[in-house]
Amino acid sequence: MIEVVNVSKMIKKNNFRNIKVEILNNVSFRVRENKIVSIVGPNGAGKSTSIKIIMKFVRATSGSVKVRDGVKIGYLPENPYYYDYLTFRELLRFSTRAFKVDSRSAARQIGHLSERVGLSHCLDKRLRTFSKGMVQRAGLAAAIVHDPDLIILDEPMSGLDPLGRRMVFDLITDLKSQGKTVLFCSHILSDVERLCDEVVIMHKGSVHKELAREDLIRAQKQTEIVVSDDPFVRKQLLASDMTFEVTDGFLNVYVLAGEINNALNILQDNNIDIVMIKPSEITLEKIFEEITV
Amino acid sequence: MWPVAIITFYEGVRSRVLYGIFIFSLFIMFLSVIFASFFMQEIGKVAVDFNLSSISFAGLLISLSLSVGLISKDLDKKTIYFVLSKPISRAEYIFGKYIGLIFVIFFSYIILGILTCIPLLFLQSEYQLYFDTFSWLSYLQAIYFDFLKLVVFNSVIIFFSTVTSSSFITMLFSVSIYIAGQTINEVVNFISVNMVGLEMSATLKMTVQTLKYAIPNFAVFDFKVISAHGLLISVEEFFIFSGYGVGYALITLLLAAVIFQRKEFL
Repeated sequence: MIEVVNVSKMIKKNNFRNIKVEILNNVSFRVRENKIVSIVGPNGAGKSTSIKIIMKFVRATSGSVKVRDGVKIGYLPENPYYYDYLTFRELLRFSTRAFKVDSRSAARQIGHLSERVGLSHCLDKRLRTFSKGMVQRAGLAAAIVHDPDLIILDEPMSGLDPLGRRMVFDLITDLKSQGKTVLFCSHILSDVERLCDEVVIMHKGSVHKELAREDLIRAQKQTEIVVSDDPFVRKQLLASDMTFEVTDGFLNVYVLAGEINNALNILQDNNIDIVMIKPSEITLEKIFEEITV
Repeated sequence: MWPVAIITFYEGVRSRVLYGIFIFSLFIMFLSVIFASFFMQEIGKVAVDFNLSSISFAGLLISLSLSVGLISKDLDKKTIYFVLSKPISRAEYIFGKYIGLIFVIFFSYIILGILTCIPLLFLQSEYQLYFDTFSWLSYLQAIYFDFLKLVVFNSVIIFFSTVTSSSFITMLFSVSIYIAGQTINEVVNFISVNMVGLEMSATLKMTVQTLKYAIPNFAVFDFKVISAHGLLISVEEFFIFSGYGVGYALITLLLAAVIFQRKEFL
C-alpha cells in the first residue's frame, strides 16, 4: 500500500548562513495491505516528518514514496485544530464533500461515526466549544467518515482519557477487520504492542528496527517458561500453538501473564519437564529503550 | 474547490468581527442623515457620497480583518494538513478560500447596500428637491464597482499570504499596494505632465510603466462622484472595467497558486 524507499530530508536551519540539517536519513519501510503498522520513536525521531512526506505536505530531498494508485486516504494530524465557527456536522460534511460521497451515504456515515466516537449529541455544536479530547475524537471521525482504504493517524491517542484511548483502540481494530490498512504514530507502547502487525522504530531520523507480528507476539508475552530442547517437545509445543525460541540447549516458551496456568497444564499433559519460570526480558518497551537510550 | 469555499464562507459569516463592522457601518450610515442635514445645498450628493464611502470603508475593514489571516491562520494552526489531506489540490485550496471570501464580501455588500437605502430613502423624502439627479441604478453601479475593487484587493491579499506566512507582513504589503493603487493614476499623470519638454530617463520610464500595469489601479473602480451626480457609464466601459478587475484578480490568484504549490508544510 505504501512503500518508502531511502527517503532523506534536509531542512535549512539558518536561512542566512545556508546551514542545513538532516532530519530524515535513508528511511525505508513498507506498509502492506490490511495491516496495522505503527511508527514509534522519541520526540524528533522523524515520525511525523515521514508521515508528512507520505501525505505530500513536505518533499523528500532524496528517495521515493509510493502510495498505491487510486487509494482513498484518511488522515488525522497531530494535535488537530479545526475551524472555530464550524459545527462538527459541517466538519464531517466537508470531508464527505471533498471525497464526493453522495448525500444519503454521507448522512448515514455522519450519524454512525459521530456515535462511534461518542459525539452524536454534539453534531450541531461549534468546534470552538469542544475540549481537546473532543477535538481529537472529532478529528478521528473526520478522517474516516468517507470510508478510506488507508488511514494515517498521527498520535491518535493524544489528549484522550482512558475511555477515549479504548475507543481509538477498538476503532483501529474494527478498521482492520473491515480490510483497511492503518499507519499510525504513537508514544503509547502498550497499545502499539497489542494493536500492530508491524512496528517501525525510528530514532534520530533513521529506521533502527522493524518488528514483525511474530516479534511483537514475543514482546507481548510477559513470562518465559524454560524447558529442555528435544524434537518431541518442539513438536508438542508447535501442536499446542505455543511461541518458543531455542537458546543454549533450552526452549524458551513465551506465555501471556493470564495464560500461565493453561500453559503449565499443556506442558504437564505432554510430560514436558519445566526447568525454570521467569519474567520475560523481551518487551517492546525494552527494545525501544535499547535503541533510543 | 467548493468544499473549501463553503467552509470559508461559513467561517466568514459567523465571525464576530463581521458583526462589529456591521454595527459600526450602521452607525456611520445613520450619521449620514444628521451629517447631510448640515449642508444647505447638495444634500443628495453628500448623502450618496457619504453612504457609498461607508460601504467602501466597511468593505475594506472586512477584507483586512478576514482575508489577511485567512491562509496564515491555517498555516499557524496547522489546519492546512486537514484540508490538504483531502483530494483538494493546492490551487483549488487557494481558489476555494478566495471564492468563499468573495461570497462573504458579496453577502456583506448586499446587507450594507440595503441598509444604506434606509437613510437615503428618508433623506429623499425629506429633501426631494436635492435628489432630482439621484439614480438608484447609478448608486448600484457604484456599489458594484466598489465590490469589484475588493475582488481585486482580496486577490492581492491572498497573493501576499502565499508569499509570507506572517499576517503582519501580508497586511503591510497589502495596505501599501492599496494606497499605491489608489494613487497610481495621479502619479503617472503627474510625471507625464511634468516631464513635458524634458527627457525622461529610460529607467524611470520603464519603472513607471511597469508599476502602472503591475499595481492594480483602484481609482478606476471609484464611481462615488459619478453616482452622486446620478450618471451611468456606457455598456462598453462597464465591461472594460469589469474585465480589468476580474482579469487582474485571476492572474494574481494564478501566481498565488504557483507560489503555494512550491510551499512545504513542515
